Amino acid sequence: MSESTIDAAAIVDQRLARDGITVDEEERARLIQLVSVTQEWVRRISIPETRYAEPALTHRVK
Amino acid sequence: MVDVPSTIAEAAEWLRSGRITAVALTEALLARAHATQDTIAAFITIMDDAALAAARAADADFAAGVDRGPLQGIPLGVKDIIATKDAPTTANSRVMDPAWGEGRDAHVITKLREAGAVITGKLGLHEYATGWPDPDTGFRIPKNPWDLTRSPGGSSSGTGAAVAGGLILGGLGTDTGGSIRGPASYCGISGMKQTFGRVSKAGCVPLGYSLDHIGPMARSARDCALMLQVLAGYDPADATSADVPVPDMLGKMDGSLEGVRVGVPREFFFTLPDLDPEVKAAVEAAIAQMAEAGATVVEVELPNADVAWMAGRITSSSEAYTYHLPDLRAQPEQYGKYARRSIMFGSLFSSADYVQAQRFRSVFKAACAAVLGPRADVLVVPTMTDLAPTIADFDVGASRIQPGFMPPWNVTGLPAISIPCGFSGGGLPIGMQVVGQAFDEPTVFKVADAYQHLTDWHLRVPEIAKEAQPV
Repeated sequence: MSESTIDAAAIVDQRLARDGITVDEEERARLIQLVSVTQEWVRRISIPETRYAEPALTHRVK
Repeated sequence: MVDVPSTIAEAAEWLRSGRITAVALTEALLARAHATQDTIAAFITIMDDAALAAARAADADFAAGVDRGPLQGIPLGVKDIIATKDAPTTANSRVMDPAWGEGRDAHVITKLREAGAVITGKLGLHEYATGWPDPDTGFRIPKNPWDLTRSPGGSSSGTGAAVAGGLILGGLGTDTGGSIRGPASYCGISGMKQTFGRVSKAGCVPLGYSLDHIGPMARSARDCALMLQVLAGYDPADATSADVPVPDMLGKMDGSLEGVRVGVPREFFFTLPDLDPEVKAAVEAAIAQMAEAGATVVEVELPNADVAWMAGRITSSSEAYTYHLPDLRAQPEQYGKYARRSIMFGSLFSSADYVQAQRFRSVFKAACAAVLGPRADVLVVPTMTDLAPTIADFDVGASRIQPGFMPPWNVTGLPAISIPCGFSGGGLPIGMQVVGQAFDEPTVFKVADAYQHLTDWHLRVPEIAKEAQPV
């Protein structure tokens, strides 16, 4: 098992334990596989311009 | 055999000229709905008695000289995730508490009833507007009327299938990352996701609080505008409702594209390797046709559009996970496996990830604002990357992590309509999006309607819709 696989399993197990959710082995394995996908997404949206950006859900009327 | 109008606008004329009554129209469409439950399977609940009562009331109003507007006497359907007082709301799920929404109408339903609309039933959807139709949940799975082996898209699958199949003249869908526009594209109809906050979500089961929209689906952009005119408006019961004036949604429709600046962001929207060549060709042809009709095509850049869908999925997954957490703990086995998988995806994101996605939204919104207005009146991009897949071959796992052209407009909250722009060689519909500035739906409708003056893609109907005509 590679280091990244171990880390992914730890992340999934910790999150599920924290939230009080149990899943079967198939679902756990699927979530572990997706950890790298989610980490890549977060990395890609972490562009420099966001460093001091603030969330805002409203729009102004012209 | 009853002659049935094909659009809301046409039906409104027929009802006022006496060519048809609301009762005759409703009876004809209810018969079609029942006749196709084993094929198209669009409805979860067909509301015969309530619909006919509403139709009789509409006819009585016409006879008394009372005109509540263009939706009076028009048969419409409602995605079964929106509360209606005269039918249960299931969200296509065994998890859904039957008491939720019982005996009350969502804000949009109240508005439709006040406008004299006839609600004929509750329409199928992906469980809780996510995942993929799951036979385990015990509900029918809507089929694409253009090819019953194929998906009508989702999650507003029943609404898309019912409009395309000629079972209703219009309907309500919901859209968190494309759930109105995707089915509109796959089914060859029009579907509008208006500006976030324009239409109240009160009385609708949430998926992603900050991305959800209730919107109209119908054959034409004009019909969608007629519906949105009724649906729009401030509602204090929805914390995200925008207290802004509602414009005349049809006010800019003049059938002309002369002088309209059509922005085309090529990067990502036309360069994605997975983009189906037939989809790309159809949208390119539509843009060329708009240019021939007088539009000015402007090449524009939208920085980071290629990752905006990721921010959308991080947001929607996190918000859905939070909403469903109590039921995921208490009764996980009651979810269909596809919905549960989709919702569980949200467990993988941290609070920091979620906030980062919100910060990205602000930056991407600013990038869009630098283009829409200053450089272009609207953007035109494909709706889907592909054609409607077969239900048997659909890859549920892959769909969640594939790039999409629709989520960027939920991320920004900008109005976006999907309209038909062609067919594949195999006879499947293709759609394109027209995207506008915040709260400028009239310009979006103007451009979509003008394109539909040039083409008849939106009026083409599948064979099964002709066969469904009752005697």
